[in-house]
Amino acid sequence: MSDIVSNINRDFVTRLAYEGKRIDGRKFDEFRSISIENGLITSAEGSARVKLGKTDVIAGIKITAGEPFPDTPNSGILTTNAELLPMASPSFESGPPSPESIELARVVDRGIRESNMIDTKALCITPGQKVYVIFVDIHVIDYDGNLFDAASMAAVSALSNTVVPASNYDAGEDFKLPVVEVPVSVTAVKIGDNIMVDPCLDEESIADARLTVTTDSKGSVRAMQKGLAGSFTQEEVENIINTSLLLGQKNRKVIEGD
Amino acid sequence: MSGNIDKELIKDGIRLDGRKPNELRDIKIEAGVLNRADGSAYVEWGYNKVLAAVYGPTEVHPKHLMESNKAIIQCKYNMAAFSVSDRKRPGPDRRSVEISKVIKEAIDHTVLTEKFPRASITVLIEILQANAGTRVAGLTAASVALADAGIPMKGLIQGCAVGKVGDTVVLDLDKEEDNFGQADLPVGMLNGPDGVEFVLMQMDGDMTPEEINKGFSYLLEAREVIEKLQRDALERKYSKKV
Amino acid sequence: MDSDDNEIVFPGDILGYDGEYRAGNGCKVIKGNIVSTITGTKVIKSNYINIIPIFGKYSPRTRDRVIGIVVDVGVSNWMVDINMANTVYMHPNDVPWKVDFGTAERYIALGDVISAKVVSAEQNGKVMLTMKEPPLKVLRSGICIKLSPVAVPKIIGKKAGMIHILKSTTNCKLIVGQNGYVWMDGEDEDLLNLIKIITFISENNLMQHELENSVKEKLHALGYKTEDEKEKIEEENTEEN
Repeated sequence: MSDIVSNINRDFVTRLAYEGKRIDGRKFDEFRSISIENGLITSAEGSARVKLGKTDVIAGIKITAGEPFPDTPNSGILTTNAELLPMASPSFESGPPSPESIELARVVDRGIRESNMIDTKALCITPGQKVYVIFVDIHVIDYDGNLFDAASMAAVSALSNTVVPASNYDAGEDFKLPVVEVPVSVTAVKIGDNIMVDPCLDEESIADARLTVTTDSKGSVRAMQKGLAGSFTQEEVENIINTSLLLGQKNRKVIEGD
Repeated sequence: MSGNIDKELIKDGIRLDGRKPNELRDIKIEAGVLNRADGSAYVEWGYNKVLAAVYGPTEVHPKHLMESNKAIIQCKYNMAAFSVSDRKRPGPDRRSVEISKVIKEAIDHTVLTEKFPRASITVLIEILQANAGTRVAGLTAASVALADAGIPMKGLIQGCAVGKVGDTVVLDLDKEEDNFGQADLPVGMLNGPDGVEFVLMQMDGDMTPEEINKGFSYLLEAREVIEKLQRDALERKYSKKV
Repeated sequence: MDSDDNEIVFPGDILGYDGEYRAGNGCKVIKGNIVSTITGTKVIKSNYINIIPIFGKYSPRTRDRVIGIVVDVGVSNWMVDINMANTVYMHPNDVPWKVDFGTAERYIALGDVISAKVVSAEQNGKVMLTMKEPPLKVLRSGICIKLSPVAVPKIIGKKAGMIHILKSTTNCKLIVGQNGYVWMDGEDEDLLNLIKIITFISENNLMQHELENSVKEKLHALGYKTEDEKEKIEEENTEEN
């Protein structure tokens, strides 16, 4: 099977969009079903698996101790990596990280970092010498559109149930990673002049432009990323931001609920 | 293999986790767990969590690998960064490359590659959580994924390992036993009209021919148990009602 | 003796002796034994043991009608995806127009969906397609979905019963390619509903009878009336008058 979208399918999805409809019957501002499983990987300090429709992502958190960056001697370190596993799609190849996987990791990381989700000062063991290093590893295992939101949800859920293994480093008792904010990303795509959230693969394959907006619980925008070759008007961007705030709140409840 | 007998890995015939020498860990197998892949399987084996996926038959990329009279098998075994206690840096290391090779060879022997000239069959094994025996769990999962993809084969392959701890031959080493035991012998088995063939075999440590023989007898028993689990998994996928 | 049973066989299962039976589809002779090579149900016909696969891609047979997607266009040929390992070559002689050198794109473009027929399928994987017989053509509206060839008999049904129910209730055109690619056309709402129902059929393994009932239930839930119900209502109306 190749991954070319046939002309008639492209026309169909576009025509549906003009009529305010989507191929799976959703409304423009509706997400697919979300299921989150926490703590499934016991070799990791924290983990979560998120299924967003048929898109399936696992995030694992590993913590070690290391030297802090010279300009932030009392802060722990956060680093995010994403693997677009070849099993997730025939279009994902083995090999060094692709621009797509690097972009995915950096956008997810940006949302976590800019929203100050983790109090990195609490991750200091010995000031100037030893701090906790948090590795967020995202594994995409099945691809049916909207990796940004699925990966972000998986990373954030995993961090929310992470236990820092302080006892391994003679730094006292193990403690739950202090999480002070829950960033949520909402991704929208533009097909013709129509904008819809949480694109499935059929929609993402023919979309002109894509915008991911990450918001926090206080109503602030913390990160944005535009993708694909098309463009957005100012009005469209403002509308997407408003939708992202509303839907972000909704999805935040789903993440916190577990 | 350190052979370091700091820990008493076996006492009065009972292992650290309570198993007898010829006892398997708990195994669960599910077929058809992924949407995009042509075939897939998920295996929980003790604390191991393994995902296998198959794409095929497909076109060959890069083209120069293509064979005019049969399909090529491309195999990648990979451990997730979070699958082990000390985070593993992403990317293939020498161990993964070797494991990918021996698994590919086992599958190459078993799949009827002559049915798909100029095509490729890609087998992907991802270890999500590791606790010794990942390559045989991966091979077991890969076999189910191949059947789920409808790829014709001589039979299903069952992977399993034997080893030695505290001078006792034991079946299916777990992490402690693998780290501190005296030998490790992973195999892949294929049952046929003439009996069982070994399609994968490696060994490291110290075992006498008699001990290896005893190990084989444990493996042959375990093989039947594992095959039944594979068949049940495929049958459940077939009778799935949504 | 011909027989079929619903028991599933798996790769490696020994089904009989070579000589007592012959090895048909999905079987191989290994050391004088007839061994299954795939997962499926066993059917014995004219002393051949055949396995009907329950998983897998398309295995082409001559005269199969298939739905294909054009993934490459050459100077006067096309490469078509019909759910096999490799894309299939279609020659300018096998289409109903006279295609001059370099003009292939004008007749069938990249991304077009076509209904075609398998002219020949060789052991080495080479397949020849034709569009020369009516009603084969380029399908210029509607939608094409990709399913497994295993789903095809379920969607067509015994004596084409299922496909008839689907077409008559939703008022859609529907062509089920033997390769598992399905084309349909109709009003947008009807198409969306039909996609749902066909996906349901392909993902479930119910017995024929159960499946038909489930499908009728789902059609009702979506607001459709099946043919016999429409007839019944007409009868009742005529009686009242």
